[in-house]
Amino acid sequence: MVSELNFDALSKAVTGSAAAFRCTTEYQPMGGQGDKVFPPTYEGGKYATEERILPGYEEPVPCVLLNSVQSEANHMELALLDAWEEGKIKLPVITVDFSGNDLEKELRVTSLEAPHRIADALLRDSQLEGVMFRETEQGRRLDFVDNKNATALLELCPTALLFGMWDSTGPKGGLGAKFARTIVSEIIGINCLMGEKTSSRLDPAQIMREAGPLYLAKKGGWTLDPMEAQQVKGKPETLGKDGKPSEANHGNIPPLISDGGFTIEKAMQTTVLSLPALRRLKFPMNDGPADIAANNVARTLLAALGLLAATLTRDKGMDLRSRCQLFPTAGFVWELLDNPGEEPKKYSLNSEQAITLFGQVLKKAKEKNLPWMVEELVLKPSPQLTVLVKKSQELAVSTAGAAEGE
Amino acid sequence: MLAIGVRYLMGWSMAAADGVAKQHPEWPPHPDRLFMALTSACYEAECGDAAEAALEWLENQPPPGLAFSQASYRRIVTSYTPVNDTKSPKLKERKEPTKDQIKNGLSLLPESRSRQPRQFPVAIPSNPDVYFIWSGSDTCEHHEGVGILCRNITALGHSASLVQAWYCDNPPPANLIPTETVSDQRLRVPSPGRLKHLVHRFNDVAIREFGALTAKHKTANSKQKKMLKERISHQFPNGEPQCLRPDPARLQGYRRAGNLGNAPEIPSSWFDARILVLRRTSGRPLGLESTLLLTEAARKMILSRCHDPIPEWISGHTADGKASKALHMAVFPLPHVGREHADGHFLGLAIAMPRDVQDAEIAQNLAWLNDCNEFGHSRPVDIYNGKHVDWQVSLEQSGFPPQALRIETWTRPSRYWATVTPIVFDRHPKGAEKENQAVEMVATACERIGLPQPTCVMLTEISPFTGVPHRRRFPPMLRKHDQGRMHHSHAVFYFETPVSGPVLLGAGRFRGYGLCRPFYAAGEG
Repeated sequence: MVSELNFDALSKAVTGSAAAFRCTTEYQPMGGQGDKVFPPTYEGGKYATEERILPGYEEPVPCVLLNSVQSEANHMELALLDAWEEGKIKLPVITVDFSGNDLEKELRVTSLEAPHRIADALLRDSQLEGVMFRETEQGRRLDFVDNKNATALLELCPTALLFGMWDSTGPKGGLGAKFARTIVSEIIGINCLMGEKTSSRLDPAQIMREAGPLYLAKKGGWTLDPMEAQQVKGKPETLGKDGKPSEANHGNIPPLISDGGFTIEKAMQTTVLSLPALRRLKFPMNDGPADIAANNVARTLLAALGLLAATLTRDKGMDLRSRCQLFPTAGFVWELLDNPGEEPKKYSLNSEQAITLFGQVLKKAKEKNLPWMVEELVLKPSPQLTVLVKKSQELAVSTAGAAEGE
Repeated sequence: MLAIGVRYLMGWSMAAADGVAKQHPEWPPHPDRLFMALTSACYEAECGDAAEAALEWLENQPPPGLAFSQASYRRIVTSYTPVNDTKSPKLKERKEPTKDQIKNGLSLLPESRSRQPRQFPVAIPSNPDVYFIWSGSDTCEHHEGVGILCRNITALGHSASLVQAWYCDNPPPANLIPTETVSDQRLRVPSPGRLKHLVHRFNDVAIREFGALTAKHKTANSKQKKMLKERISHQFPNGEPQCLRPDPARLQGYRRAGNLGNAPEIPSSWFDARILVLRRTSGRPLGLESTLLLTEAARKMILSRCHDPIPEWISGHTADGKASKALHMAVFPLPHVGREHADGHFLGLAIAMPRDVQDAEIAQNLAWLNDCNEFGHSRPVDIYNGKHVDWQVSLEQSGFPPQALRIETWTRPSRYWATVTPIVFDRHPKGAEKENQAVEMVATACERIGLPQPTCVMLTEISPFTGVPHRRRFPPMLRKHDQGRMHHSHAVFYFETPVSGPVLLGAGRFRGYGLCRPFYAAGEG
């Protein structure tokens, strides 16, 4: 029997002895069963393949990793960011905002996008009202966080408690605070068969390689006249390594066939939210010891946030990368893994329900005076970084102009 | 009995068997890894005195047996993860930034961040449950403490390797048990003092205290600052206390459990089913036609490493130099056969012992099998004959070896068996009844190794396994007294009821000929 996950059930699970919530979801490619999907490639163009022994199959089944643990975490953070930007949830967000610096292209990076979350180097090298972030009142509090003192992170960056964080470049360097992830997710393609891919380009202008070489022009762009080219040690500087028209994106690319993409029987996403991991976190307030009731509410809040993140990504459909879009074939059911050997309780949860549940728990957290930064904390990049970004954008524009032959 | 069950909640284990190299997944999980996870649970989750007492008790127990399934491994790939030690360069006023400065500054942005290569080795067991079993332990006193610890474990290995653990009353029988003799694997196990060592290296109490004093110092007034500074210097004369990686735990040999899970009533040969598998790690590839060359070189290597007097069960000779009539050690190749595209090349070789030889005696005479490196991996040994054979081999210890290197490929119970290398006949069959004579010799050969007579024997020129050459391509064995060629043939045969291996038949059974493998006839389950 599948029930809707409500506050009572969630709270009971977090405060009890259950091990985890787990959701296993099956997908098919958006193009239908049999359409090809393109998993991530790793160094050397390799795919992360494996064989699994699965029920119903006599022989080991070839499988391929479609989305790694780290990438799944990134997707969940982006799903939370979208929900926050749409005003659906209240979430602590720290943003480094480059606007107001007359940049060619405006830039904003949030704590949900920074690779190392609140401990990221970009935030570290940004300022709040002229003060370096880690020297501010908020930043200093990060110097003292750990499992038994996680209140500052709950307030400023709860996703760091869900997806993990290592404050490796704070005042303590490599011995800085470490928080293990509490939620893990991964997608694999099952019963996969590698296919082939083709690549080619037909130049509408049919420019031949021998039409070059092209040179970097003194006035910007490129030129065929060596006299008009920028000179380096008395010689005209070629566009790219040897001035081929392809350096300016002209010319044909002959058709190539190579290994690429897989057909799969199905894709399977497994997401696990660890409850013992949440129970290790404590949230003391006002310089006093941690209150048990407040701890439980804080942990329940994090659990609700984790379930919300996982549900939002599923509901949006998994657009993992080019030619790798997946669609779920059934609703999402979360199993509560408690006593081994016993049938787990099952709960359904869609995005709307997850948002509502999250809101309910957040309200309880506020009643317990647990801190939760609702206003966006906007940092400004350091002046030096701003100069560098501005310069880089200017150079990029001029180089792009060269490629287009302006 | 005390048992702890561990379930990998993602269906896989992410843990490295080779430390920072991270090229080999660890499977099965080492008992010390579990102990460290229990210790972490005890202190990070503040499990209390009962849990701590359970840990102290556990570290004083003998090493546990393990019950676990085989695992396959994800291909090791290199991911590139963004670094966090990037710094914005300092610019000089009124001076244009250089290209390098621009590049360094931009590397703070997520899309331009530098990345470092990382590997994440993953083992995927067919069954996500593993059991650690301490037989004969009196657990009444620590049942509760162990249960508390188990409920608070989060991961085993990498933080993504989430697990659920529980105190288990009724575990399955262990299939890997500790041994002081020849071992198939070596696992790290806790020993007395391990808990104290882990707590000492983690140094949590001192680090917290130092942190608290330092925090007070930052916000104190000048008088308090001076006092606190003195206190810090006095309490921590060596500066900030560090959290250090623990030393590796001691290695314990493990061996597969005796009957490999087969039912005791299944007839089996007098060779021990726990064959020792040696994987070829380097050297020229060889095929089935080179069986005699390889096994001869391997025998020489084994004999050269034995102390005098070499036991009869190894040499095959009595003390006065005569050929032994008793079963003795057999060496045989492990070829890739029976699959599509199989070509019969050797992945390694195996050593089969007579069942009645004690493990302690095997360990004493084959001590080189227990030679391992700091990670518990067997060190390679050389097998060469100066010409065609130039191998290095090491004890097969991976959790999911290729089919040819799996013990059950050659030992699992079956009614139907067929040759991979031809059976050598004791004498040359002659006359009109020579085929019947040969069939009878095969039947006798089965009895000679403790199996029943087969119901039916069919002699063939070729083997039913893909990749096995025609019998004529196998060099003949030569009779010692006149160097005459001994006749050999492939065969397919079946028994009334399943028998288990290894099945090594005929006059060449100690040297790799007469190697048989379970063969499933059409329609057999």
